Amino acid sequence: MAEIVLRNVTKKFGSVNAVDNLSLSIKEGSFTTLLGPSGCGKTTTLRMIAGLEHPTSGEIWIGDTCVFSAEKGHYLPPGKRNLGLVFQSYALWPHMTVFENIAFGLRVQKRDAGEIQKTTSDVARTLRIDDLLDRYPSELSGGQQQRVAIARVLVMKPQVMLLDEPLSNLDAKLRMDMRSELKRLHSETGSTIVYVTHDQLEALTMSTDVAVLHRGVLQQLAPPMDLYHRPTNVFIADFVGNPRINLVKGCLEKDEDHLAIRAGALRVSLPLATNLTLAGQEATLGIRPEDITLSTTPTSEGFSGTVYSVLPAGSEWYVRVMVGNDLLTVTEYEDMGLVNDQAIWLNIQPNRAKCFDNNGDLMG
Amino acid sequence: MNPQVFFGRVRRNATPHAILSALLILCLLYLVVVPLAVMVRETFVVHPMERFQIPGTMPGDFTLSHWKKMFTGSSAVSFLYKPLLNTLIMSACMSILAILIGGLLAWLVVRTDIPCKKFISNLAIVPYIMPSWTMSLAWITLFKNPRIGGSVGLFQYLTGVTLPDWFSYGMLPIVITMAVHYFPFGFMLISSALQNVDSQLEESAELLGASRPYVLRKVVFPLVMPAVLSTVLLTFSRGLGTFGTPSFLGGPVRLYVLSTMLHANLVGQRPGIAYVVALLMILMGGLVLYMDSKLLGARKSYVTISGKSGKSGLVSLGRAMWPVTVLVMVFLVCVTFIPFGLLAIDSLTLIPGDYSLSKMTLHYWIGPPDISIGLRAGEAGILRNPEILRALGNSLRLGVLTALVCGVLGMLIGYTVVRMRGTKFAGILDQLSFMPYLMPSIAFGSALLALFAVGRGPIPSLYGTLTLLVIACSVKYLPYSSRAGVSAMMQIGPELEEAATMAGASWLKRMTRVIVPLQKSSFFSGLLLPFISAMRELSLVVLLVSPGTQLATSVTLKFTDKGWYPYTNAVMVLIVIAVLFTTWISRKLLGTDLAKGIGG
Repeated sequence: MAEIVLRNVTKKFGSVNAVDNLSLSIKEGSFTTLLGPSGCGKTTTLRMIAGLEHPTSGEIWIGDTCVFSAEKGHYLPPGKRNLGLVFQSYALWPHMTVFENIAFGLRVQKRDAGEIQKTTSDVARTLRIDDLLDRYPSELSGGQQQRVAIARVLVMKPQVMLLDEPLSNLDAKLRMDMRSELKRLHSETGSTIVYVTHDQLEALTMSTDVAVLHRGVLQQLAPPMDLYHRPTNVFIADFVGNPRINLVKGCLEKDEDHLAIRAGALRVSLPLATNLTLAGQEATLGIRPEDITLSTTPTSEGFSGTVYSVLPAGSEWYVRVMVGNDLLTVTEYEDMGLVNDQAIWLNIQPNRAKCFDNNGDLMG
Repeated sequence: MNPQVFFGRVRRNATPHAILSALLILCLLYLVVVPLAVMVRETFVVHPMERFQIPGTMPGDFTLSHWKKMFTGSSAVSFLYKPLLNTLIMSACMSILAILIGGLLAWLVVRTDIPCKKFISNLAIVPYIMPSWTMSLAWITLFKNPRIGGSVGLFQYLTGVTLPDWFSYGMLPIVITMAVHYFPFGFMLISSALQNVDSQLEESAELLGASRPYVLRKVVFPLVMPAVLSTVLLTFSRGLGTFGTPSFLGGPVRLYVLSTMLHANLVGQRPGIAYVVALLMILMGGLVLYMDSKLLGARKSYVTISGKSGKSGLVSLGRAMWPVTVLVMVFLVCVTFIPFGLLAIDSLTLIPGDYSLSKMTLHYWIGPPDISIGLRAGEAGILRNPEILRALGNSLRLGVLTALVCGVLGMLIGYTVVRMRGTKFAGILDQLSFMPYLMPSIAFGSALLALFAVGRGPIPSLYGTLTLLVIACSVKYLPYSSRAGVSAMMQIGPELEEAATMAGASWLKRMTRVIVPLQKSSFFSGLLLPFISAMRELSLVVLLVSPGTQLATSVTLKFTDKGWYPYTNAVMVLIVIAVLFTTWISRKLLGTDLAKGIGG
């Protein structure tokens, strides 16, 4: 259990900056997810914390220890950082039994046999794999291998657990189960967890904090719900959330003492944006599909459109609506019996609408 | 940069694989590149025995006379141009013939419904496993005419017909026997190329209405053509460095190729000239490999873009099936059992040339040293002859040591190349370990001779030691092992080692607990090829052996020189048995597939 701090960490592969001047503080006891599309630098960041990659410049601290500093020449090898890493491929040693896999780290530390036996079986019991100890990894299912990989890390009682897309090799149902198990594991052990994923839903459901990375640059570090409701820029708004947020390009204009955005056939007032000098600049309007409601009869504030297609998804319906030249997605929670090309009216909750300035940053 | 930062950086970058690769590169530089440099120097220096041929010089003086003599002197024709021409004719004809046989056989096995495919494939590899000059000894046994040693071969004994010199010795038998040794090489490479042709490519051509022969001509053949050409070139370069066959079959009619010329000049105390020949051979070998990579590099790639091999596309041989099968079987028997049988029979004949059953004897196997019977050689039979037994022992030791050194180095090179992939180190190491491949065997042997003949700094003269032979064989066969090592390491993801790093395991522990156990099976099967190659090696070691380090292969030279073929043939029978037995055992125990290794 320790805080992890990265200070101005840059990692270059050739001339490419995989991680670019990243400063990040991961709170003690938190479940922090590094989220981003592939190639954003999240795995590189994790491997630098683990000590498997060396930053080109910058410092990394775990608790009170500086584990890496390019400037001061500090470097603590991975085995001495007291952290555990669960690999995407699990990396179980195929020539060792489950027991030997889990006990490996203890044996490296030359603990006595009785203690190894006891600690290993305790951890195996916690993860419900105590009946598999004599098997080889090839004789296990994907979910069981996953548990062994976690047990191998847990047995060392690390102050930090690092997980690199650990659920991506599991099928959809198992993935759901493992999410809740990992979350429980976190609250039971209380250890700091750093989790890497490209799956935004996974990040939202499991983490206490999410760090979004894009092209090696940290975009935002926030609790999941803040990330969802107050994304600091267009990239995060677009990346987080399924179905995706509706983004419509438009232009700012004056509306009495504040601004409004006109985007396509839509116009939304922005009561909090009062810097009238921005009027006339380009901007992007963002509205989550669930922040729009539909009605089949004209409403005073509503924008008119036509139904493009209807996509039922069990508990909800995704309706694609053509407004002017823009195709928007709307989530409806009951069957409205809509048909294609039907005239429809959209009501936008103005306080839920987000507006991004011409740099893509959130306004107001 | 302050010292602390500097040492921090050094410590971080001095990973085990970085240190290892630096060490390996240094070793290989010393064993591959330095010998070449030493050899170049030797061609410009007057050697002790040469100062009488080059008046007014002292040993060690600088001279251009070796090069002048080779290219412009009156002796240039017999020293260089004729052997060069002979070498080109021999290698070209031999490789083309070998590819024709191997390619045809490959096509029959992979693409037609010929029966006994497995049997054919297994038997077709045997000539390659046997020492390369087995065939030439068998040829001599069968077709010898009285020109050498007075005795006649089995053919003349049975028919009474005296064969002309051009049939018994010289270019024709050299080409034929070498082609018979090398066709399995083509067979294996072309088989795998044919197997890799996506059957969907053929099927789509057939769906468009193309006939089978048309598909063969327009689709299959162009697709395997790069592999065929590449095989021709590789076989050609093997032919350049071969010593045994041209020596046994060319010697009696004074036909010289570069390899025998190199040997004759070194034995005849003209090292300056010998090293010029060796350099030329290495240059030619390099040229061939350069051609291979440049001309074919781009085209080669599409053979490797393979799909599933189709069982559907088998050509029916129809009525031709049985005649073809019989022909193939007869051919295979002729190149495997018959040569072996001929050597075995010849080793039993008391008086050379007399094959009557009543004169069969085990004298040359177990007889006492007696100058009154048989060849009057005064040599004990090979199984009680201390010199030969020592040579056999040396061969076994050489084989085992070479296999171990190659196995370990191959694994380490595989490890470092794969771990450091994308860095300059990995590229250099990969290239260096492949370099011995392009050096004709006998020329590489002479290069090592030049390097180790005298002590250099801390490294003593190794001439006359088994160590030198182990070094030579290990470096020469390293390309096979490092290839195998790289592909074995590719199978293991880096995570398996990283997981051990995370658990705090030291590099040694990671190697012994994770990497080595995982590589165990490929390590053991990788030992086979170097062992067999070392057991049957002659061209590479012929210049490096000394009386104390005679090998089973080189000891036969002495007997062949004196015309004592029964001794030679008895030893050859032993070598062939040993090699085939090892192959068989390792196949049974480890499931080793030799065909995979040789393809490299």
